[in-house]
Amino acid sequence: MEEVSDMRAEDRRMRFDRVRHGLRVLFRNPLAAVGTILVVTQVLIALVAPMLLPHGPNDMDYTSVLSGPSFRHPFGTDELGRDILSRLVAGAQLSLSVGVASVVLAALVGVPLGLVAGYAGGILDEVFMRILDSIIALPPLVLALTIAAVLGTGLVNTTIAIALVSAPAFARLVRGQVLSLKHNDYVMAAYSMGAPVRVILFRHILPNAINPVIVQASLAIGFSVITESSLSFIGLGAQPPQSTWGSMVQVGFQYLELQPSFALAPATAIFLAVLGFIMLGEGLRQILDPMARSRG
Amino acid sequence: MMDRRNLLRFMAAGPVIGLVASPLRAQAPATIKRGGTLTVAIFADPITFDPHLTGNVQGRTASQAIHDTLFTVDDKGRLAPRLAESWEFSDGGKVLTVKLRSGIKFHDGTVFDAAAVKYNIDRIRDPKTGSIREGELRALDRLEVVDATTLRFVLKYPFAAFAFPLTDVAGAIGSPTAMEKSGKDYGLRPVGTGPFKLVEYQKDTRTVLEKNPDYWQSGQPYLDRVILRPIPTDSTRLAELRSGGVQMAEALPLQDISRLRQTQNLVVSEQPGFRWEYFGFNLRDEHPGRSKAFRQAFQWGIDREALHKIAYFGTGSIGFDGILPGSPFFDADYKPFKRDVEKAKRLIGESGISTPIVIKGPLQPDPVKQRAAQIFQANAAEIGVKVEIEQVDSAGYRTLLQSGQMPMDLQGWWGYRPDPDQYLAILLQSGGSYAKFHGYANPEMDKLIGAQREAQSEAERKAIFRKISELMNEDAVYVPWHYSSDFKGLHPSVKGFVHTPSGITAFETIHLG
Repeated sequence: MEEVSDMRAEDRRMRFDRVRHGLRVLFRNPLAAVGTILVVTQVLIALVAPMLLPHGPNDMDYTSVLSGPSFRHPFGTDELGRDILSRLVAGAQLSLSVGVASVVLAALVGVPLGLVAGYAGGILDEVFMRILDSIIALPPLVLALTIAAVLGTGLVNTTIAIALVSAPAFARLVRGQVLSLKHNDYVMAAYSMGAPVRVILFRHILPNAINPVIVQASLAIGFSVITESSLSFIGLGAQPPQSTWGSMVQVGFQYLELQPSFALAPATAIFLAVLGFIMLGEGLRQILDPMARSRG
Repeated sequence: MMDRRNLLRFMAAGPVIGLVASPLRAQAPATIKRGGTLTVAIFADPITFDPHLTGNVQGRTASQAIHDTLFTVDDKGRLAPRLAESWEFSDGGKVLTVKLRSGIKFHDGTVFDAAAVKYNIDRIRDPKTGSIREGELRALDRLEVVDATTLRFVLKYPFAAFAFPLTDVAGAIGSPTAMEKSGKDYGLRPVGTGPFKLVEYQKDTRTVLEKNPDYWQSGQPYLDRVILRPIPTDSTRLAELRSGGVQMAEALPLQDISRLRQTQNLVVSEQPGFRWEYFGFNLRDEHPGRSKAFRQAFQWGIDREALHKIAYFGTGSIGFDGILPGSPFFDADYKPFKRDVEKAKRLIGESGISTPIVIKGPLQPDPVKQRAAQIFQANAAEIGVKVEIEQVDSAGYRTLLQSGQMPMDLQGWWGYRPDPDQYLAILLQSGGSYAKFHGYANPEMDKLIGAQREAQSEAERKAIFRKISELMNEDAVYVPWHYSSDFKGLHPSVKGFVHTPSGITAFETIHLG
């Protein structure tokens, strides 16, 4: 009994060490460090702040409309007298959720496609890749706009649209990895031992191909946040009274002269979020890249 | 604020009075500076200058600078002469005889006469023209040319307000010779009798109008040129006005009005009664609007005060029907509703609609309506109705409205028309297009619409219009909430401007200093 619990404690300690080691590596890279701090801060704000703020994001106060920053409203109020800080935080939840959800969805679609195409090769690979090429050939924002317009307005459809636009990048990336990995000895060994394709793909190849996917995911979240903002800016994304950063910029833009913080606050939030995710992605790339690691 | 507006009207009246009263006329030329170019920032491109095809205010404005209309509306909202010199109803309101001015020529030198008017009216009524004004003349049975300057409009039924559409583009007269010659291209080569001629048109960039030196109203126009520049962005239009790039700007952003009124170097002109707003419901069985109690709940449940203050930034006024301030039929004391959330809740309870009640409302990206819709949404939530706002583009909105499948209309509004019949029949009469879109038909209402058309005196019509308003509010297919104003910004050098409730500017009375 005692031995078992000892082993568990040992296991926990090792895991803790690994996390600590990972964080140390992460924070040794300045890009990754700043990126992580930015992202973690924003996520924490999105999760915790709504409980602390005195005003609800949809509470209207007709007596103070488009008022400037004050102690009561640090970023002022919007055109319906709603607290901009509260809406900014509520917007953080939605904007970041759409960003993460669309990238997870894109990875779920793109990664298996890339695995299958790369492993199977031949005609299947050709067909898959030409379809993806044709998607990549279109400007991503225009494509997202078209898909969102066809699916209809709303954040769920926006998420799907962004995911569909982002998926080909994941598929291409994974396919490239699979092509170089599938002739490795351990894959051949698994194959010769009669392991089913499913096992070879997900047990043997995927874990070794995952690093660039993580980097791509972080970069893609930055793109997603921007795209969601753009779609909400033209009215396809968030629907009133929902607030996302993009929709806040869209409305606040009309009152730029009267109440500048209305548009500037969410615009800054978009900037910081995208910066955070891109720096994190770039940092992770440097850390996870075997070539770079050997140099360090 | 009122002072400046009245002053503006007074200044505007100057040249107009000058034409009629000779003692004043002698003084007028000394104060009026001739020549110069007026550049106007407009909200949208005019698109066509064919008065019978144009749709937007910009197109109607430009068409009417080029073409004169048969009638016009005076400052009391009553019919006044223009190309028509005098008119008379006979046969119990079924025949309208019109005497035209003589000696007027089109820009191409051809003569304006009764035959030309008949050609234009026939053109509107010809389905091949595809004119959206055809409906405005539906009461017309036939048009007879009596002599060169006399016309007889014979109507299908007595219709007191028949001539009012002829104060706008439906009554704008173009040269039949030019219409024959240009065919479908007439919209780009318009020839009228108006104070200005079209000399240059670049879509979405600029429209240049040049003075007609032979204009029949002596002395007018004062300007040499009018340049119309479409600038869709509110802040850019305003910036152009401030920097002096334009001397006049239409559709000033409402949130800036109170601040602009403090500004020294520009004049804010306000014209109340520009349009009225409503929230509309679909009465068909699959929508909550099928219940009269449900619809009536909003008459008591919406916060008109907040809508007025927030959606319109306190401009214009709260409204309770479709009769605009400035109309001879308007009654400022008609205020049947006061916000009463408890009463509204009770009506929702009586509606028999199973809870939770959810209703979808499409919304175009119009800032005023975005504000209004979100206040409506909050008001509705207080009485237990969830409104799901769905943002759509204007084409999608129209398609949905016309299909008769729009659960509720958050966007409802009608622009000024000189006679309320011009839109109330469309909205309320069982054959009217908007009545059909909303699934509304009430024989009682049809009777009232017919009665006001037959009524001979203004007082009689006013009494019937009140009954129409009362029944409209009882049925609550449209829940009216506001009368809005039109705002134009002027450089102080712009004189002689008359702000009409239609929002259409007559450039011939304007002069620079």
